[in-house]
Amino acid sequence: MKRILVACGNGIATSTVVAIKIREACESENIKVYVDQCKLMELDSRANDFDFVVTTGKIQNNEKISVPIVGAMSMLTGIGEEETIEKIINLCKN
Amino acid sequence: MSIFFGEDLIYRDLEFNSSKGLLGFLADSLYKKGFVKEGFKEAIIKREEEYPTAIPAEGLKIAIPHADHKLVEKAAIAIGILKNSVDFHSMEEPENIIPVKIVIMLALDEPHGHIEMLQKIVTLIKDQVAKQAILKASSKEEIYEILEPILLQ
Repeated sequence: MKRILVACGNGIATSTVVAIKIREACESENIKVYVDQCKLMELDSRANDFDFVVTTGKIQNNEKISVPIVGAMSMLTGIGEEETIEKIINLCKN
Repeated sequence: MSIFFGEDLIYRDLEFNSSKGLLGFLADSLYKKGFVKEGFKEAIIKREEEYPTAIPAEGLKIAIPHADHKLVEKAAIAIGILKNSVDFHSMEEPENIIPVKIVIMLALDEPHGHIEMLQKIVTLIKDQVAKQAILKASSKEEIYEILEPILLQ
């Protein structure tokens, strides 16, 4: 099962919306995932316990992060949302 | 748990020179009405400086400032509609300035709750028709009538 960490500024608002979209997209592809949320400032200490990270905000210090990072502002604006979901599904399948 | 949204948390025709002034005004209002604790205003302003909340969607721009849920007494949404846009920074790329016309300040009292409301707000961010209607509205009542079906039903 893939482990996905979703991060945003406070870890409570946009990450919640994105986490749900990820779970729904994976469910419709029959992919089992574990999705957790955190604040952007916690990302460098938690990211490497996951398969990849999805964020709506900008990561300040990503040198320590060794897993793929997917920007998901598209899930809030709608612009490019399908491509982002496809990217996430592909990361889950590999 | 439900989020309060009502006419007395809708402010229109606002004029502010800075995002800080506007955020302080909305946060003060939430505090005076008992929705948030002391420290919420400072947290909102600090958060916005570190992790800005303007969304680079198409059309009229919206910012969604919010802070730690532990500083909230009772979940609520305050809405500020600006006469002239105020510069915020993009959540996605903090160096980018976004001229914001509508601010939706979220006082969320649980970390991963209010799911439906948040989803509706994300939909509103992209709803060009609703955003235009909100800007054209000439009273709080009118704005409430536009938003009530979008946010509360």
